[in-house]
Amino acid sequence: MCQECGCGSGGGDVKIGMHTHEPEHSHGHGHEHGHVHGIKTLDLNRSLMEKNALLAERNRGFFRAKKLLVLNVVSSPGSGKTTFIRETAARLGASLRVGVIVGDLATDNDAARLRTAGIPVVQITTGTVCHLDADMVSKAAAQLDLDQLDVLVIENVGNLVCPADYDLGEELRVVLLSVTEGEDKPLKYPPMFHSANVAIITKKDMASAAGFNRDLALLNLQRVSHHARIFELSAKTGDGMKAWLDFLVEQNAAAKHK
Amino acid sequence: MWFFSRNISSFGKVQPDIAKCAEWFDFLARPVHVDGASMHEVSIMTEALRMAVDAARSAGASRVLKLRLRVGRLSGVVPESMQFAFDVVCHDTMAAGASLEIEAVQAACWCATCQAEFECADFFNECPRCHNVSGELRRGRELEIAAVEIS
Repeated sequence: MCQECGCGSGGGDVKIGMHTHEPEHSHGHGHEHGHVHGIKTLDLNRSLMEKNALLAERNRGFFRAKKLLVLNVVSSPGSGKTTFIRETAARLGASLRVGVIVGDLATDNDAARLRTAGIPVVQITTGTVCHLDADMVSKAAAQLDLDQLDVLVIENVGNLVCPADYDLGEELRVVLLSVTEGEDKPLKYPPMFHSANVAIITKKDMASAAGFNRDLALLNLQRVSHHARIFELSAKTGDGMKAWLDFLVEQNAAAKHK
Repeated sequence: MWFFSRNISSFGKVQPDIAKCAEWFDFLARPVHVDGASMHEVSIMTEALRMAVDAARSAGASRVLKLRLRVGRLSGVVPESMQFAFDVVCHDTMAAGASLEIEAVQAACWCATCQAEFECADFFNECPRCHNVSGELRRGRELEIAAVEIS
């Protein structure tokens, strides 16, 4: 059999257990342990993200079985993820129960903010790691009573680069762009914006003070995330929140029937 | 990786047994503190090393001499950082002193109008034939371990 892929070409019959093998074979059968003679090259051809991809799919299957709508919220630091999540949970109130997993390099300040609002929350402090991965999420989710939740929000580490590569097993990836950040953020970080299912322009109430060019921002967003649903809102004033909450209710209903 | 991880399983040869060895788990649990390399590259090189050592052990080898990676030009990782992170994570393992070879993969977009690929340097590009813009990246986001040299 072919050594590379087991395709059956390039060799005669192999009968394991009957010691039938070609005379060219140089290995013996008496070895207690295998060893390599000289230098050998093994072809692997595997993705370096394979382990995370497998764990993420496992998470996704688990969350779907729990009928849970899972969001992975990503943005640069300071674009308002925590306020946005807190207001989303507060405004959904009793209609949809929200739990949160928060990722930060250090401190549990974000978790404390959410906990004060009465939201079940687990903090992951990653230490030096710039992103959450599927394994961290799986361990953190085990600390929440998922059966009491309808929506699980994962607040990723504030970073628009690395989290793009790490699937967490979420149903929707939500990227935030605040009006103070500049309209060209989607062009500067295309992998993240391209991978998002939902793009949200936050801090809408500050748009005129920041000199925000809405048309340009929307154009850039549509160019990179042409498939994403776009919302514009201010979590602080509540302006625009209704459309987002209606969308969540609709998505949650879909998750219940998956 | 967003480009592969959603629905497409690009690599058929998935080996289900992951890190049987207790010593290896200890290694993975060890915090890595590196100045000068982005943590992203450290995570990626840790995974590359894990795969290489796994493959070498399964083949009965005692040393890993070389890793060959395939990295897309738009994968977002920095080759210099990968080399730096590699030297650090390999320290005190069977891959200590191993060399790292990185094969860069040119990025290419798909043009729906021409029904053909064209090479590109960014995520959004104009097709050189019909001048329509395409954002459908077909190559260039690879992060793969191609081969490992063992003895």
